Amino acid sequence: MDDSTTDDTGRGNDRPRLGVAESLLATIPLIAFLVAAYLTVTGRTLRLVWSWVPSLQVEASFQLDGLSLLFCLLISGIGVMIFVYAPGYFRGHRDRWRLYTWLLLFMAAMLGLVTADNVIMLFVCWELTSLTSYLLIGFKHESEKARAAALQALLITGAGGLCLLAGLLLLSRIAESQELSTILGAADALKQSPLITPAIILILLGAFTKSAQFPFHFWLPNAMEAPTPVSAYLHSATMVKAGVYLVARLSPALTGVPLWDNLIVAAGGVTAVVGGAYAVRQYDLKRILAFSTISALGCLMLLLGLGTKLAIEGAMLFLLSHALYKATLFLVAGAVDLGTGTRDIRRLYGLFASYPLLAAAAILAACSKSGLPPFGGFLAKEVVYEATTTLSGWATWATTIVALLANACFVAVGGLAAVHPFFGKPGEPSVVPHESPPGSSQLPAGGAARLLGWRLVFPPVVLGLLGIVLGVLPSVTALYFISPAMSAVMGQDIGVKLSLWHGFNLPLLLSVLTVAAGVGIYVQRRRFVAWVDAGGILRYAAEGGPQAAYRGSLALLKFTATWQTRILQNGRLRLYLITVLASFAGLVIAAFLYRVEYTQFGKLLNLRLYELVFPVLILAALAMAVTSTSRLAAVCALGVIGFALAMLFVLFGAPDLAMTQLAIETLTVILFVFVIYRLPRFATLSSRGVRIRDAVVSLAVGGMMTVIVLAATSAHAPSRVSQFFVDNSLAIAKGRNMVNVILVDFRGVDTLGEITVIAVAALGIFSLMRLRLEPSQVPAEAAADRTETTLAANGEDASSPSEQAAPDKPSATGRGE
Amino acid sequence: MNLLELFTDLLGNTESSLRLFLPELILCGTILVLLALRIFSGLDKIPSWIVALAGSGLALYYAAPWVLLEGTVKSQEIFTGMLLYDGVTVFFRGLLLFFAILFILLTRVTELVQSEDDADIATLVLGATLGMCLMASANHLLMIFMAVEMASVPSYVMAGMLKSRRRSSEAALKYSVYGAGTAGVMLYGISLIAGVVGSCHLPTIAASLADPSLASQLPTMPLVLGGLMLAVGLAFKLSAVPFHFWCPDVFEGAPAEVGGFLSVASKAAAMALLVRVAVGFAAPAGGGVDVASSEPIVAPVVATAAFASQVEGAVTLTAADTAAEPDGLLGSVRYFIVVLIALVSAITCTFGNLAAYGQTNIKRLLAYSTIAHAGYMMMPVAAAIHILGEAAAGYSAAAGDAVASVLLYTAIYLFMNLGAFAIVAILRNNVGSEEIRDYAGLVQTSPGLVICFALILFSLIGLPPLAGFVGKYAIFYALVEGNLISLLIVGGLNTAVSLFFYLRVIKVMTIDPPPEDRGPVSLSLISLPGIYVTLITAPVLLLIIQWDGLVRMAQAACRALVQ
Repeated sequence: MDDSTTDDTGRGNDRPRLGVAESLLATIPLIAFLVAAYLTVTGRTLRLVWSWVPSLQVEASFQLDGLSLLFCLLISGIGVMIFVYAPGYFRGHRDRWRLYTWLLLFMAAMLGLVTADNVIMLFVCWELTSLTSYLLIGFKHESEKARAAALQALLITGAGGLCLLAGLLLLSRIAESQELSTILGAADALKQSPLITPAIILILLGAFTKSAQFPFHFWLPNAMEAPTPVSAYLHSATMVKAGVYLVARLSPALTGVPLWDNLIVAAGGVTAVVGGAYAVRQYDLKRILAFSTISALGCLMLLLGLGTKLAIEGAMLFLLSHALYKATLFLVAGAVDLGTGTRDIRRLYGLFASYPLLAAAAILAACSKSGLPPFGGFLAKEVVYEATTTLSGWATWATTIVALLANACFVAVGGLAAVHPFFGKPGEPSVVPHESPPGSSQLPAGGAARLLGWRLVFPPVVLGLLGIVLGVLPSVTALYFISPAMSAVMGQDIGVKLSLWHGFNLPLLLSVLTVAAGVGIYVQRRRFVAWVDAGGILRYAAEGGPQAAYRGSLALLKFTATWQTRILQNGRLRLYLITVLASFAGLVIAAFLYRVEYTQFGKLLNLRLYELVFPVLILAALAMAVTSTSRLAAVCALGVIGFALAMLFVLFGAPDLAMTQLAIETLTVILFVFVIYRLPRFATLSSRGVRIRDAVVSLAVGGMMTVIVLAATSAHAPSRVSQFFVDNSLAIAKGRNMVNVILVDFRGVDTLGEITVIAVAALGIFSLMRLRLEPSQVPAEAAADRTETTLAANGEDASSPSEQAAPDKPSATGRGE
Repeated sequence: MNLLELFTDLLGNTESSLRLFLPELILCGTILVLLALRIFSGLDKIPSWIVALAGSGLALYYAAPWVLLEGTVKSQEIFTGMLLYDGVTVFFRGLLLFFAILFILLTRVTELVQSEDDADIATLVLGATLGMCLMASANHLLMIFMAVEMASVPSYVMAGMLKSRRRSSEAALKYSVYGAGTAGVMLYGISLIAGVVGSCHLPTIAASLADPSLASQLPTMPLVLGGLMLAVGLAFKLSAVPFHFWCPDVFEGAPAEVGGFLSVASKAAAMALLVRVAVGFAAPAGGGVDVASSEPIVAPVVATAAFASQVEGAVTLTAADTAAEPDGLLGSVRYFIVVLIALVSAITCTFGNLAAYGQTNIKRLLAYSTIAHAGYMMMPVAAAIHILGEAAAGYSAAAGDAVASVLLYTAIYLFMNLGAFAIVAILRNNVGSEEIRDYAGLVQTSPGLVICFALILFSLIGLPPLAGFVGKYAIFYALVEGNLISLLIVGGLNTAVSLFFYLRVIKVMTIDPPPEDRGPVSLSLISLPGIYVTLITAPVLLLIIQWDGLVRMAQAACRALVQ
């Protein structure tokens, strides 16, 4: 049992002695706790500001008000217990220091999150908690399930976090400040802005994913793969409450916006019922607690969404008592797991004899959870019922029923998680027979359980006792915790009076009803489960649906990714070119469809007969090139096209251009012929469909080029250059051949430069030839240059007719070389 | 004017320009020295990487990006308006030269090349860097074309560095075919624009288009087409969809180091060029620019320039109703620039992230990640122009800050991607593979390296508190300021998708069991590659503590852009 001697003897390899540092880990959260406690008791609010990035108006600012302090106390206080517990739990584990580091990092991030005043600071801490949660869930990385769960949690909360960032940025844009305190002050501006709808949706996506609200809740039960101290800390007491914190923090500004209120109430209500009912259905101790945590988070959201004074009061009380009892139950579950090697409640019973102190802690927590007086849970539940019953209209019915259902389930969960393992008998609670685990015949009897060190027992006992303290001293609870937090949430100073005894009234009646219903559910568990499963709707909502949607979207993503990679990025240059050309043609055609100008094209038909000869020749050669089965013939046909083009240039008064074209065309044909001999035999490899596709693309691209040329030639550009040459060639340069004059006179310096370039290139080629490289070693550069030359030259040739008067850049000749 | 005047003019202009052109000149000189060293038998013992390092170090000293913090950079045109010297120039020049230094060191650390090719890679890197510096400062359409080609041709050769590997040669071929094709299209576009407007000087074109009396006479269709074609050239350099096909194939075929070079330097220069073309055209050059040139066309233009025409924006010139606006065509031109960049960036980003999801080769994955990041980086440019369009009178400083977020992101991206590719190269040397599955269980033998890689990948996702978050925050902030909520949502969703594939790499390295046939791969951080990786990763981890300086630098660089 929990005698401290086993701890200190530390015998054997599996139970090594704790290092000094390890045993003193808890002092770090303790210091934080003492600071928070000091601030709470003295009732001071603090604001700390450091300049961080003034150029983007981002400051590292922190504000500690009642709400922040309440969370700080929870985070650091439970943190102390976790850091007492964890060294006992992980004793001798190889990677335990990694875990401690992440836990400490998480705690720091969480403290930063609840105290940050700057939205960017808040977001940074928010994502840090997601990240550390990912690392902590995946701590048992040999387990495939743990990794999948870690990834799922990170994806959902991380994606939600990004939405949150967007939402917060929108808020700060509306309020023109990144400080939460200023944003909250600008409530009117927020409510009138058109951006408030997307902002609210984005922020709530962040809050709902983090706080496991329906339909994003499914990551939380899966996250139970994490080691139990982690689950106790992150996934019940602190991290999952970040969403609740955020909603509470923004309440002063946004409560009253219908979208905000309705979304929160709806999500919270559904989550509360689904989580609660589903918790009862589970057999794994931790999954039971996880679903009941989901339900509790739903209740908190619901209360915050209602937004009345009583509802907020109930929310704050419930937040506090839930953190205490849920952490206790988790720590007990972890200790039991460690002691007996199982968390399956069908195999856990009668452990009271082995672990009396644990049993006491569990019972304390279960009482608080069930809302029995004089525990903190009772206080909370009374106020919650008071809040729901004082609403108006159908809302009061709906919310009261939701609260009643959720609370009854809490009672049953308390029984399952705390009473049964310690006081139950085999076969209880009523188990659906065919789901009985195969190993149930060899249950570890109570006596066979391992001894547990004090570190595993002390923290749950303390936390369980605190639950009573909360209830027994309601005035202290109200003064130090509830009133300051409520003042922060409501945005005005509020004093709260709490007492255990309210007299006989409706809430008390409802409480009695709740307990009775809860006990009923516990006793008739089998019937309740059957009822829950009836029709499968609840099951679908709790597990099947959202999870299937998650998996489905992942599969869709993967399918789309592989599909598009296979279709588009298949490694074939010609298909890439088809895609590029087709999309470019599409763009141009779209531009034309946007505003077509046919008018200018008409006069282009004003042709003389002999001018038609060459186009006809070109078309004939084109047909031959396309249909020919001989490569040589096709190349020759291409050559004919080029020469015919050159003749067109001659006809339209650009003999120099024609010369260039002829030279390049000849060179191209010769090069082609050289290459052809090295190609494999001609064969028809492409199918009919492929050829039709190619034809369509070719026609589209050809059509596009035609359109481009037509558009270019129909343009009446205010030419500034040609008239100058016409006027001045003879007058200044004394030459009648305008092209010559341009080359040697007007652009003489250019020509000189180009000659130099050619000379240098020639030198280079000469030295290359002297090197006598092996044919296989011809550097890629040469090939690259050649390709580029051909393409660039072609591009220029096509553009040249539009500016016949302009000099043909001799660079084409230079490149042709 | 007569020849003498022309020469005097040119001399005076060149003399004043040369001082501002010093870093590029030093690069040119270093390249010449590198080539010369190999000719003379006595000098060829000097290791060329040291020369290259010294050259780029000196160039960086003269490029002096830190003067941005003092706010003493005065915008002025140099070389008769071919280039523009302003904050953006200074910023990107500093960034590119700094990267060149890191890259040369990387090639030494990973022993990319044998000694006889040593000088080649140094020359190519410096040559490409020179071209990229010109891209960042180009102020003239022909200069843009020249700079793009100067940057591209050495890149093609570098992609084919490993001459004996077929994939490397295939990559180089694909890259150059693509590059040549898009360059041809771009040149065609430039000639159309120049033919219609009568100038290649950006402010002059802009002024012509903004001039209400002239704008109505200009034929619109060639302008539209020219604009689209110019955009093709830009999209190729940015590896924007659908002109991105070269990117994964080239990254896979080329050595990882070269992939790093293309993914960082080339991308940075392309972003600079996009900023130049898009923002420079949609915002008046203003009085901030000192015209060093006395060329008669330029001076009056710059003074009046209220202007228009990012390439694609020319589409709007056809809109008949614009003529009535006192602002000329500015409003609708801006609108179309915003729509086009927003569309392309959204598609690019989404496509990149989706495609990265299915990759098994780490270099292909990083290639798609590069494409996706190009998408993110283009978004604030759209935002900046949107802000300019919304600011009714005068020009909001917010537009400059939006552009500054691009600069900030580029700077952070340098460390993230260089780090990623460096680690891939180091692992290639030690594991002998670039398949993700072969990284399984590396954490057991090389924990330091794996932690660095994980940090970099987390940073690429944009998770706080790593540097990637800073960049992403700046971009999202710009989108919010620019009121482009739809782009913001696209960016957010994409970030969520990107979680999947980056995390998968981390998962393989840390969780999967190491394959049995792999020998022990033990890479300590206390080794030359280890120290290099640590130094590159450190800023990724630590930037969050003090990122104000970088932001202020970027903002200072962009201030003159829109004033």
